[in-house]
Amino acid sequence: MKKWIVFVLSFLFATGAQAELKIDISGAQSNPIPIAVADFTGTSYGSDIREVIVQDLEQSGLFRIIHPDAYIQKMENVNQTPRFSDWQAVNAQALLYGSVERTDDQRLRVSFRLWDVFAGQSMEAKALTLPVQDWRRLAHMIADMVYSRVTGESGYFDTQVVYVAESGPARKRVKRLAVMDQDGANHRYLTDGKAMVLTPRFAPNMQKIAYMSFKGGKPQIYMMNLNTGREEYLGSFPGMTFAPRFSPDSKELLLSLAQNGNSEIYLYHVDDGQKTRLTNHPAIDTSPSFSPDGRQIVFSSDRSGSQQLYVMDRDGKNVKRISFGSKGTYATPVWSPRGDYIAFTKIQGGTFYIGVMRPDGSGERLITQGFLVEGPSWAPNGRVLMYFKQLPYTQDGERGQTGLYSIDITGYNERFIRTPGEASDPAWSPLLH
Amino acid sequence: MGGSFFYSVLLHVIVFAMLLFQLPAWEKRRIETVSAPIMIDLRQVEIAEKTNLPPLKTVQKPKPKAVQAPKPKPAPPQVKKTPSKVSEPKPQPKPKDAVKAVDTKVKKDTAVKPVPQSVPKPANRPAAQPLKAPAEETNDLDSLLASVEKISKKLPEPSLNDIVDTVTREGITGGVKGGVSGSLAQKLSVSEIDFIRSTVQRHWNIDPGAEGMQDMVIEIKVSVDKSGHVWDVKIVDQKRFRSDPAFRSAAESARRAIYICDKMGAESPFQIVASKHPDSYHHWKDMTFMFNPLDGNVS
Repeated sequence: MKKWIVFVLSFLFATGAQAELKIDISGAQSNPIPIAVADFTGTSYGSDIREVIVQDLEQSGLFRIIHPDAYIQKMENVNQTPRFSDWQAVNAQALLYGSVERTDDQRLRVSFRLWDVFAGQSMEAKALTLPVQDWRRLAHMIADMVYSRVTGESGYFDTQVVYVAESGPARKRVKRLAVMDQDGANHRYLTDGKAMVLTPRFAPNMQKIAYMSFKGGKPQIYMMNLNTGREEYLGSFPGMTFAPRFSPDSKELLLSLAQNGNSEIYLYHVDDGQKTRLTNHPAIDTSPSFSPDGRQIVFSSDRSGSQQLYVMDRDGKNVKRISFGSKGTYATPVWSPRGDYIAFTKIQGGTFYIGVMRPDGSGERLITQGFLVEGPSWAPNGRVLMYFKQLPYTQDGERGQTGLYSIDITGYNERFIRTPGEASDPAWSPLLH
Repeated sequence: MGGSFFYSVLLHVIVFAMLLFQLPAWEKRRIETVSAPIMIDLRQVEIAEKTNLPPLKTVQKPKPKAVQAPKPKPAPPQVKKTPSKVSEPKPQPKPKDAVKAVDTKVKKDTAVKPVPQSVPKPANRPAAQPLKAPAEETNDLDSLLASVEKISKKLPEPSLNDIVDTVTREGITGGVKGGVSGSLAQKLSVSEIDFIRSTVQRHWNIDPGAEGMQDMVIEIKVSVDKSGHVWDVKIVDQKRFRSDPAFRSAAESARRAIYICDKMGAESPFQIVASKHPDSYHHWKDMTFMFNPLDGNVS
């Protein structure tokens, strides 16, 4: 009997004892993640690769690199297991290190490991191989993997940027196409500067760049084949063509055609050169951009009296206005690769802004401003924007410098992108790997 | 036959009493989840377990009347002593000495506990035992069983009132002085829970621009040993953890926050709780954290 009572009572009390303490954590910090990037041992490329990785991660604004002088443990090779207490002591939340070896066929093989220091768990361990001359790409790819593994989003370091390189005085400005890695390395010019070029755009498959050129005196859209380097004429249009933008599958090209004082949006089929008119309105319709699923198009139009943003189906139907900001005009809309935002340039009260809004027009946020900021372009992860900024005229009346900048979608971490000269009209490529 | 009847009655009385004064499990569910965003540093503010408790008098007053009426002598010294200890922690606050004040209070509390045990108790008076040291996980049960045994041995013909009175005091207070409910007395105060919350939150780092943050709640179960060291951290939604990179990133960051707190040594909120509540290990050994990135401020 006593045992029975004990059983019943223990059950009752056990029920109480098992109740857990429940704690709600609402909100979090958003500080850069402290990460230790230890040596990449092996060949002399190791330190160069490490340096590029460090620059990429720092540039993102989401990581804080702990200075190597603080490291207690020296990582001798990629297969060494870290002493986590040593890395915890320097407050590293993640640890990256690796080794580099040169293969017989003149390739570099980089092995790396990424650890969660406080959990003591491996987060990533991989080996990549590329030709020796692509060692920077190897570094960017590793940085992408670290970024992706830690933040949960895809990276954007192994990418390129095409832009308009500017030089010379204002009245005799030379504008050339140039392409470079997203960090400014491997810079090269694509055109000679004899004809002014504007608004270059990468095809998502990275085979072509579409742009507007004043070659022959008449502004028209051209495409450059990146494999051959040849310039392709898009075909004769009755008026001026401009503002090209590829479809997500790279098979179609949206463009604007100006004719008799009116501008309409057309869909150009890259393979057969056929054209489809999408808008038909006496107002100026321009700057079209596909949604990432290719079903909708955002564009700007002054059909309401001032330049605003509109969304329509890919066949030109169901046109809806999405921008309603008071006393402002909107231009150069670009749909985010992840589909959640549309970036735009806004002009209000004589000031230029770069902003984002939801595709239905809600949640408008202006993330940067300036004397002249314009032409936003999304990083392939839809997280970072690149745009160009012109500084105000000097007191001597000299034109302010123009350069490229990147900024996080949150409005933080604005960074200047170094170019050999002045720069405008950037367009970000997709991820190269 | 008579023994069986007695045990049956006894059991019914116990269960009835527990239902009347609420089962510990029910009580905990209702009170434990505290989400009010109060930010108080436990080390600077004098608070803690007594904030949940009514004065000792409410429990001990009935003793002389119900049980001790024939022998009032020994009771008064004990009864007087304990309330004065409980009411001591209310002195005017001295900001700089706040931490010291908490320490001394704890010492006093622990110093008080053995005293009642060493005092000889009059026979047939189980009522003097509530001042037993607060139990660990199984002490509620031990205390209750001990009482039951004493009742059966020392009170050959107990009245129903005596049983109810004894069991109520033993079982419901769990032998913790000054409280009407043992489980209540053993719980962490709102401020202590908030101290854990704020410390963990301070180390939870997320990327506010990441996609899908707005509908992300991460449940993590944390197991702590008696010294306050974390020995297990489990992310509950393993399916989403494996399939959703953004969730995995936020969950790993949350898990990291727990581990970082664990590695704070004497500053660890878990170790602080362990040192303050060594006798209520069962209450804080398992914790469930609900991390919600955007329900508050991302600073």
